[in-house]
Amino acid sequence: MANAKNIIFQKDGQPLNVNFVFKGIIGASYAFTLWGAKTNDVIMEKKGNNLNDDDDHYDLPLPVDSNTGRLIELSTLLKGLDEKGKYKITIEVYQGDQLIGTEEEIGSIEPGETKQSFIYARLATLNLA
Amino acid sequence: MKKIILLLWIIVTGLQLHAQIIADSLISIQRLNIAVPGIPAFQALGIEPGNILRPSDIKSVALMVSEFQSNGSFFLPSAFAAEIAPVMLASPSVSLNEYREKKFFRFLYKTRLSMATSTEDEIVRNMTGGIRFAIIDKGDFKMDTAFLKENIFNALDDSMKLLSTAQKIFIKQTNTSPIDFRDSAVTSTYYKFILDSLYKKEKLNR
Repeated sequence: MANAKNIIFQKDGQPLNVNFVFKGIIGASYAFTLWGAKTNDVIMEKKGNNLNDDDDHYDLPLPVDSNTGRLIELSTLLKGLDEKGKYKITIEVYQGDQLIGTEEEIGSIEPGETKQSFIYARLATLNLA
Repeated sequence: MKKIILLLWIIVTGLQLHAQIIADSLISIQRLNIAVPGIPAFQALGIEPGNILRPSDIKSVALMVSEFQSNGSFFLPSAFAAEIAPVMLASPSVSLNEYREKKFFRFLYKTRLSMATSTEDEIVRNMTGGIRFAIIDKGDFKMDTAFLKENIFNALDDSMKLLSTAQKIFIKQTNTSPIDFRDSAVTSTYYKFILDSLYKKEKLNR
């Protein structure tokens, strides 16, 4: 089974939130899905685009430790708006104000080309037992 | 003896003053059919090269420059044409909004440097360099929010909605994990069937 990058958080810490960053002269429409731990249940789903950078930030559900094992999926449909260039899509995960992890995809896109991207990150806690 | 003519020709592109008074609706039409100004270095030499190098990253520029080197010294190629957007190459991490909000950055981003060489005869070789930039660019559709929404983002958002719904149906019905969906199932016939069905349903509802 394919793996996702683990992002470690403190289960008794501040609330978790995610931010999505789209770099490059691209049009990007995305669907953010928070999948259940070891299940295919959809816990949270949001849609947006990069026409405005300010609204690509979402609080994850409470209590904080309920997010253990959950999978963040960022599915993005991209369109190249300029000459052939690079793009970078990043998932940033914060606990309170502190950035605790990122996952990203870097690629290149032709003008007018449309492509789909999937980025995953799994939320995990340290098991000290 | 080689004769090298170095010309620096600055061409200010953009719309002429009269273009500024045309109606906004006409500007939208013009965006789709705007005349692209000539590349100054090629115009100076009076050539129309068939193969223009347009490196899209720093690595390609380095590779291009390395081809001018032989046994530790630089030489001038007999027929060469290139156009480079240095700021575009150096700043691949700018976002669409940063591009839209920073006027001076946009000016630098669109600036292109060009270089060309040609050979007149066995001993005469010409070389030119040029720069082109836009002071006013009313044809840049990326600056028009309404145009972007209507022509790019509405379609992207609608397609993304369909793709996401089809993915959720596929995962639920086949019990595939989301990551396995990305790695293999996204190309499956069944997923395409779901997508196609949703598309037809959406079309009927309009």
